[in-house]
Amino acid sequence: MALATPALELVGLRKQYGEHLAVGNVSLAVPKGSLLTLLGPSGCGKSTLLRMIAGFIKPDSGSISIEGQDVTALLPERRPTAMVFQSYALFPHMSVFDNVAFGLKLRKLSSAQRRAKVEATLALVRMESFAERFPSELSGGQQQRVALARCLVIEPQILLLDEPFGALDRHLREEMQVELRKLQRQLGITMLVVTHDQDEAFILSDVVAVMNGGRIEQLATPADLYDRPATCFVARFMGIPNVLPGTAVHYQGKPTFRHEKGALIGLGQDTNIVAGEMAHLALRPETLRLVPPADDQADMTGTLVFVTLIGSRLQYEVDLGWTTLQVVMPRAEQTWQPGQSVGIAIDRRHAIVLSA
Amino acid sequence: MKCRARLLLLPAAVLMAIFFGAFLVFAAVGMLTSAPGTPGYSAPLTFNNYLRFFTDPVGLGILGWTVIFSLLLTAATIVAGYPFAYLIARTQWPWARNLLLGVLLVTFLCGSISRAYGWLILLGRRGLVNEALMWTGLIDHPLALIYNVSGVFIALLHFTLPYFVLTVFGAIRAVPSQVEESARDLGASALRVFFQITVPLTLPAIVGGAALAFSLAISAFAFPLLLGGGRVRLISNYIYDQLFVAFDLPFAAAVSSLFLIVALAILWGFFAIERWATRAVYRRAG
Repeated sequence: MALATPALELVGLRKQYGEHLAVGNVSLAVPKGSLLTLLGPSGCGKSTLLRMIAGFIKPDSGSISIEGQDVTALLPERRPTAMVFQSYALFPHMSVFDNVAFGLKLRKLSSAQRRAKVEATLALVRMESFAERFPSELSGGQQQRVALARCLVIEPQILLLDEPFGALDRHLREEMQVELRKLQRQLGITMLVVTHDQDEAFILSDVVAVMNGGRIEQLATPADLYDRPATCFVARFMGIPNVLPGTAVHYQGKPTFRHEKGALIGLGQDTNIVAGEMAHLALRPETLRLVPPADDQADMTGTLVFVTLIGSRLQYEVDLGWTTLQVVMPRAEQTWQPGQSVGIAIDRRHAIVLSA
Repeated sequence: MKCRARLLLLPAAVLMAIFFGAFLVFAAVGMLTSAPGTPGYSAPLTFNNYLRFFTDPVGLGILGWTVIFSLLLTAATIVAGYPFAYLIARTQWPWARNLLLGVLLVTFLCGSISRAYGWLILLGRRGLVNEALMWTGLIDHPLALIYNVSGVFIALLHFTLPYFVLTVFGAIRAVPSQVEESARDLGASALRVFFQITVPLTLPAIVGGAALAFSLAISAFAFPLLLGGGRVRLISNYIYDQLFVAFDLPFAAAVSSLFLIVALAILWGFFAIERWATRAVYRRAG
């Protein structure tokens, strides 16, 4: 089977500002009709990458292809992309209708066709009753919808969204995220979203590219990213507080992790390790359990130093002497008191060995 | 409370009264009669001076020409100044912005007289401009650039430009570059973005800056005097002649008063356009 042409293909993209490497050798293919998120902390190069695809920044090297066509040398107005800006960037001197019609006026259409298209697109984002309003008369969420409609109406091959929900309050943000996802499925449009919010990336994406220092650290589905982070950076960015430095070893014939301070933690029998290699062990707090220190299941023992209530769960902080671990358990289970001696049981299926 | 607030307005009111009082003195003096052969004047009150101006084709011609000249100059200031302001506002290099703003500020701070003499040297028959044009072979005889309208026009344009550019520059910077970028992104060429997004959004500032340039142009005195060679007479020069050549102070005062009314009427027109533009651009903006 011949591979379908990806909607967007980046090959070896690179951009350097003086000493600062903004984007370093990024290659990426986005399948048609999927939603890919560029996820990373501020300054990781995700916005630079997006602006390169839109045509606002010229890459130092590398190429950008859309639907198999090289667009690297094209001006922004000649690219089949449309971008939703973080600030929405609506035209303040035009009504909602004229904002949405702006892109269509540049394409040869009769005014009746244009009107029909604008109205249909406004209906799609449920803004049809606001056509005569001006951007200053709209709430943040409404402006966002108009910005989206303005892009959708020109039927771009790729829709680019730069931190699209950054300016909205939490409740509205969650609502809009689900709405965007539904719209994307409904229209089958290829989207590329930039965000620094892990939850947002998980809600929206088919595939997530985690970026750090101008490079893609890991490209995976949200579930894979959560279960199997590939690097220390990704593990920490996925919200795993327990990332221990050490070495992978074979101990008594079993795969084992040796912490840099000497403690040994046995790993699952089928864990793939390269003995003697530097590694990190990532332990999700939810996959750890507190047990009595003398319990058979206790892999480590330590002192409980702090308890925090987080909704239906309790977060425990355990001092093992050589490191501190976070454990999260449902409230219903046995409550432990700070100062108590406790054991920690590891669910070996969820212990993640990171090669770097 | 309200009473005390009004009291606080008093210093400003006194100041305004003094300034406008000076103009009223002009208007009143215009109703007196000059004593022939002397710079003095006397009663009785009469409208003769005002009527005389309206029946004097030379004076009316100069007033009309001054208005046309000033409007042309204002148009030239917009055409030359807006791209310049745009360049300063949108340049990627901070050093270029600072350099251009610095150059502008230096011209701003130079006095009119020294600038007028500067132009005499630059635009003269053997001046830098003519020498350069001759050297490139574009012309074979020096152009007459001074002691005529073109010299006055060039020098006045240079005078009004910084006022206009500095007014508009701020407005252009206030247009978020993302708004321009999104228009590009939706398929508009750079030129289209300029005329459909940037210019309309800065229209109120353009009209405001134009009003400023117009007021400077219509009240110009030193440039036509020094660079006009007696051939370019604007209304200020005409009034000056009535005063210091004809020694007819009441008539000069009458012409000044009429000139003030005409200038204010045109400026009112500018501000009406500005109000309209502001409403059209930021309609119901809150």
